[in-house]
Amino acid sequence: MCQVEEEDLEKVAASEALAIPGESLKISDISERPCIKCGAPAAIHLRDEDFKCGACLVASVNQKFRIVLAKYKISSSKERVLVAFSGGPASSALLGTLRHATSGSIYSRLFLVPVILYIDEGASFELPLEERKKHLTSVMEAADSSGSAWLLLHSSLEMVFSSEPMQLTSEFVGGTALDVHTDTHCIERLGKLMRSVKTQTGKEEIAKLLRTTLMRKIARQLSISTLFLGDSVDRLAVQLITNTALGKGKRLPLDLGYLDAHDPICTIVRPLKDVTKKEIAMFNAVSEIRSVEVPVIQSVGDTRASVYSFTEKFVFDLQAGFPQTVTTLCKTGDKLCSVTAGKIGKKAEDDFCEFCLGPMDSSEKDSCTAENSIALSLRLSALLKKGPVDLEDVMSERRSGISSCGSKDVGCGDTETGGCCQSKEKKQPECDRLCYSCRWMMAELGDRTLLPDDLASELDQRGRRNKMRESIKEFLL
Amino acid sequence: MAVIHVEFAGGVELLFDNVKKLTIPLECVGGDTASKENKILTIKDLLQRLRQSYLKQRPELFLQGDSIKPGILVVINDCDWELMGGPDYALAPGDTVVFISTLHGG
Ligand SMILES: [Zn+2]
Ligand SMILES: [Zn+2]
Repeated sequence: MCQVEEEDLEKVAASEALAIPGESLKISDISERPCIKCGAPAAIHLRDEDFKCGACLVASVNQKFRIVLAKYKISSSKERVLVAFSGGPASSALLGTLRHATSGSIYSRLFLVPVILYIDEGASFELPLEERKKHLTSVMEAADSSGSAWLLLHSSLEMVFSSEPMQLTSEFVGGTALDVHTDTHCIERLGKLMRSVKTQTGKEEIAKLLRTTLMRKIARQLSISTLFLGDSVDRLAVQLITNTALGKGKRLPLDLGYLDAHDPICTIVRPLKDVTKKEIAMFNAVSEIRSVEVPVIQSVGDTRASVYSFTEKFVFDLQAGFPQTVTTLCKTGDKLCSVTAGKIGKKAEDDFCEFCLGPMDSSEKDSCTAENSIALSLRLSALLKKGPVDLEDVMSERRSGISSCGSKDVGCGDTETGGCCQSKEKKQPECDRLCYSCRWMMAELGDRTLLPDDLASELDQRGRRNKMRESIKEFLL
Repeated sequence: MAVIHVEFAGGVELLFDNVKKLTIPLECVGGDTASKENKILTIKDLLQRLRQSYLKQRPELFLQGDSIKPGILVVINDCDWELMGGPDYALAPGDTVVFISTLHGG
């Protein structure tokens, strides 16, 4: 549908090359500036006139972390929190800020008890077990090197298929390789699921869904109600564009906010939401925090493999020429969030997607949804075949409730057969309870029985509940 | 012998065969032609040397044109290279240059 011409990409690349001389001029202007906080020689240039020395940078990252926790009153509790740790720079920095916050003076110290969780995703792209063991060991060593006596747990993505309580701990002896918590049956099911997904974007989205599901499942098993994620502002900016491109606009407040509390059992917090990747890289360098690289499903390299990879390149290339890109994106995202956030959580269960638990976006009342936009353009292109069209007419036609696309094809507008302008996924009745992006995912998947049992059964259960509510409605008057 | 230290982190090391640290004699940075003259060697020269002799795969993930790919942070002696003159920074014996990828990873 949306094709990027090779030629256009070359043009973009050419314009990028032109922008570089201007950039180097700027650099010569900013050499050897003092730190804006303490006047010592600066070690990092963040944006515009924001220069900081190493010590002040570390302090500001730690402060940003504390502000988020204080704002959402997480700092006052003595609870255990589950901390997702991938070994990468951002989550390593998250451990660094946690260590800083939980040590030091008794008056300023937080009493949180972090429980570190690493999820090995090697099975989602069929990495050999030996490789996985090697990566697991290096990630756990990095977590251990933080020097805190925190509980270190690990699991594997395929365990989302396990119906038994999961084994999460390992006897950690330095120098020996750790064993991956896995199960051949679960690996098989994960492999089958991933292979049934057609596109790289679909695979990445499914892997993300499974990861979140598994983390929630583990949180439940441990009776922990708070989950910390190390999402940086750059990551969230890319996620913002990706979500929008995938028609998940309504999920923005959940995927991008400081706090996602829509699951009553487990609240997700993003304490590094205001920290850039550059700050994180410098924070780690100054604090001597070691991070490890583990291969992930997002194929490194081919920037056109998935919507996420392409968006990432787009955002970072823009960022190189326009240093405000990421912050502007996120500020815009926050505004979008605050408009919709107030509405979330006050509606009945019917208004939530039964799969991702996000808000529903396929209601007729809201005209600015991905689904309605696609329906509109389908209708438009069908009409255009016959001659010029007035956009206003088409819009008002839809509002007046005529669902036909106007074509003379047999069966269009006929709700029994689905009609020619309704997408084929919509014909399945259970899909009515899914949001646009989940329906897209189900279509990618083909067969929903490939999903983990509890996800599939949860769907059924809620479907049954809805039907029951429907059937007893008249008696409740 | 005057040397400079080069380090890779955040995933850049994968492009260099998982080598995390390199020690390069300063005179090798400029290649054969520059070694005789007393030419000032810059980060630009270092990038060319890395591309020619050390980069194992996919140069487009490390370089964009003559400069470093956007998203890779260059840290010279614990200091952001933007504050040191960027690609024109003149290398001195004993310098440590770290390339940190900020792409991917979380
Ligand atoms: Zn300072
Ligand atoms: Zn959904």
